[in-house]
Amino acid sequence: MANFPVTGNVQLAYLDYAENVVLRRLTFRLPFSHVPALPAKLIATTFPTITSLLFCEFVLELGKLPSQFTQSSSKHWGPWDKIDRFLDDKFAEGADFKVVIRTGKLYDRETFQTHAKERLPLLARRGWIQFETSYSIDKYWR
Amino acid sequence: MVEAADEEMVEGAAEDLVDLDPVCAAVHHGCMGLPQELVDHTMEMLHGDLRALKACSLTCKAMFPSTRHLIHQTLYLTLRNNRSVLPRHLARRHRDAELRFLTFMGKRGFLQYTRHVYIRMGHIFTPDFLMPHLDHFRSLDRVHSLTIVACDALLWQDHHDTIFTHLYPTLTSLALHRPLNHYRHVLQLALRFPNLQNLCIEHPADSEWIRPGLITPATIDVPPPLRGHFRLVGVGAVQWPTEFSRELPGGINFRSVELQDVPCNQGQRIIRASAGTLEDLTIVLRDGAR
Repeated sequence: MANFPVTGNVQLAYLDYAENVVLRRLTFRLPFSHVPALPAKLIATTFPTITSLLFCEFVLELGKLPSQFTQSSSKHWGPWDKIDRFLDDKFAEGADFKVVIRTGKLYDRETFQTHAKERLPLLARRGWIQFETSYSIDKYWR
Repeated sequence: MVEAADEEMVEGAAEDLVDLDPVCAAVHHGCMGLPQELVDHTMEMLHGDLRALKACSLTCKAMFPSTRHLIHQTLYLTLRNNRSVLPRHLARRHRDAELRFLTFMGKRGFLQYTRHVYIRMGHIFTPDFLMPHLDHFRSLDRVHSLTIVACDALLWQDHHDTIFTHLYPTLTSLALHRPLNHYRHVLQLALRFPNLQNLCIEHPADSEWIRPGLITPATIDVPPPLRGHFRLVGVGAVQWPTEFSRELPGGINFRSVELQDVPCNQGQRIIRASAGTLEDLTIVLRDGAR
């Protein structure tokens, strides 16, 4: 944890999990507009520090989604292909690893899921992506 | 969501002015031939949907007893509910009137169903407001979770043993929203519930949070287990003490932690302190984060 800023909100994305030996699930709850900026943080600090052998679930809880996804998947999601490769390498041995993408009400569910699978093709091929709906997310971000 | 729930409760209170006990006691013959167990299970699935539960409770005699405990499981002691049962001749500033809803519900026998208590008075919650209604508050002997908005932790210190002891056996979750005074007083208030598993502290008041002076660490004879969920929100704007995790006498054993608007070094200390038990971590990145 030596080189990160000590105040602010988004710095929570830079925490070090090396000592958390029984960590099973890590959840990031954020507005969809922040998704493109997340991969850099996750690859720089978050995932490399996870040492728990029990870690098997990474959850994205996304709020404030647009009603339509008019741009390309890379515009909406940013460089998640890096995350895709990283997670595929890191957890290739683990049979039960999964990425859960949880949203509230979606008007264009099909495009949303297509985009997610486009940005995470290796994980999608392994069947590691799980889409979930939780209406409490809409209440949370209201 | 809370506002909506408050409104529901006000409506519920008005309707409950009619004594429905005779209906509850009446012999019922199921709902459309369905066994009572199935009706109970269906009502349990509506858990949290107050509007649907109320509609069902009025549908038939079989549904009424199945919904009653669900409708009244959360007691909302809010400004709105207290005023809704306030006689016009009673001055609003009268202290007895502040928690009138508690007595109102107690006299009608609804407090036996209460499992969660939510207190938000519109101003700082102090023991003075509870005293006139203490008998009814003490009848709340099955409460699992307590939420208090804007409570001055220091003022409650001398009253903890007289006011909260009946909650000791059952209370496992405590949420303090916008607590006032030094963080050690806040911890002192929270950690005296011996069976506390889950703790939530949201948006502590920054003006009092870093009051200078010597305040002794929390001294608790038997620390609560604190093995459940810990939610810490909104200490980014104030100086949450770095030694916070050390002040918990039993250490931190939370299995689940949620952090939002918490300085990174504080967040790091908390997850490090619970390194041996933490299984589930949630990081919330709100708007404004980059």
